[in-house]
Amino acid sequence: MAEMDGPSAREHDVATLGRAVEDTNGNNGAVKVLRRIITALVMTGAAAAALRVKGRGGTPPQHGGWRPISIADGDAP
Amino acid sequence: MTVWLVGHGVVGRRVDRLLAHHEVRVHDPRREPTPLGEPGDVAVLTHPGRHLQLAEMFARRQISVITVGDDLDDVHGLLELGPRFSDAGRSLVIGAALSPGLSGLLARHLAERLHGVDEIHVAVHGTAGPACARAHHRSLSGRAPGLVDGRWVEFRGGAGRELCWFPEPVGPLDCYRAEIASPVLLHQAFDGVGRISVRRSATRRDRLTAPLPMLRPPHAEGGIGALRVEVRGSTADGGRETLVLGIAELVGTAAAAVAAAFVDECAQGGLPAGIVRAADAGLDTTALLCRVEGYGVRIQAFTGQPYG
Repeated sequence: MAEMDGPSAREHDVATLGRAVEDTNGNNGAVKVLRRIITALVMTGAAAAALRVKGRGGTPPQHGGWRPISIADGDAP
Repeated sequence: MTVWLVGHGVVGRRVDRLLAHHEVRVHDPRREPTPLGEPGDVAVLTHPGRHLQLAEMFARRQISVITVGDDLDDVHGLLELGPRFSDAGRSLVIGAALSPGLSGLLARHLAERLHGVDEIHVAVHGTAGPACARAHHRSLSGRAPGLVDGRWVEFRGGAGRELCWFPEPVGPLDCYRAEIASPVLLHQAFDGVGRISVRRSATRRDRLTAPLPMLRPPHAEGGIGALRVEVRGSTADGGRETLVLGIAELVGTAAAAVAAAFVDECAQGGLPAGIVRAADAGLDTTALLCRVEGYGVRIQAFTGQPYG
């Protein structure tokens, strides 16, 4: 019986260990994705903040650039 | 000279006020027969609905007619009255409001500064009285003619969104193709132009409810309206040029100013017999625009850069 029990127990242990490794790998994958998302968000935020603080683009035009003219005075458009 | 004013709504009342230096008589075609009139008299049609029938009546009386309507079918009908008015030596001004009307005057004024004109693009914002608001509502679900590469294309009203920048305080607004007569009249005045479009501003709700009857009564008068006329063409040295003029004003006030300017021009014999369009090359556009300015409409030019 001992000879019969030995291999069976080892097989059981190996199978259990395999499942545990699979679970660990699966968890690691999810954590990896989460970590990447957080890193991407942080990097995007940092880049946006850097551009906002250090950027030299100025404020885009907020008004249409219209100039009153007088046809009677001969103003050209 | 007597000015027979038909319609006493937002535009009619302002025309009445602006033409205080003429003898103005309000005529109600529902209650009174068409006036006999005298040579030199002018009828200004500002009433809601179509103007064709009444214009025919005035043509029989040999009275010049100025209409402020923008109904596409009505304008097609009015254009057929040309021989009657020219035979009588009288003028029929089709479209003497914001668009058609001031849009044509501004387009001609800009075209005179270019060697050749390729494109004319008009955008309108706002409405005058309730009748104008109803016409605006209908126009967004109708057929919207536009000239593309020299070919007429019938667009669906409410299609063709374009962000158009109007003079302050109106600013940028999304505008859409609409059933307005202006492209037809502009094309007749600018025969060689390949592209003509007219758009009017609208909200999402306007476009969504356009096929339905108006869900609530329109305002007594719309707020500040605006007009933008963009003319693209070539300069004498072959360069490309885009010129833009516009106004920001109550639509009823601007329309009344244009109608009054045409009445003054007619009174001074400045209008030819037959069909007259605001964009016609034969008109004294500068004099007409000066009259419009004199009635309090401020014209603005787009510089392309922030001003001030």
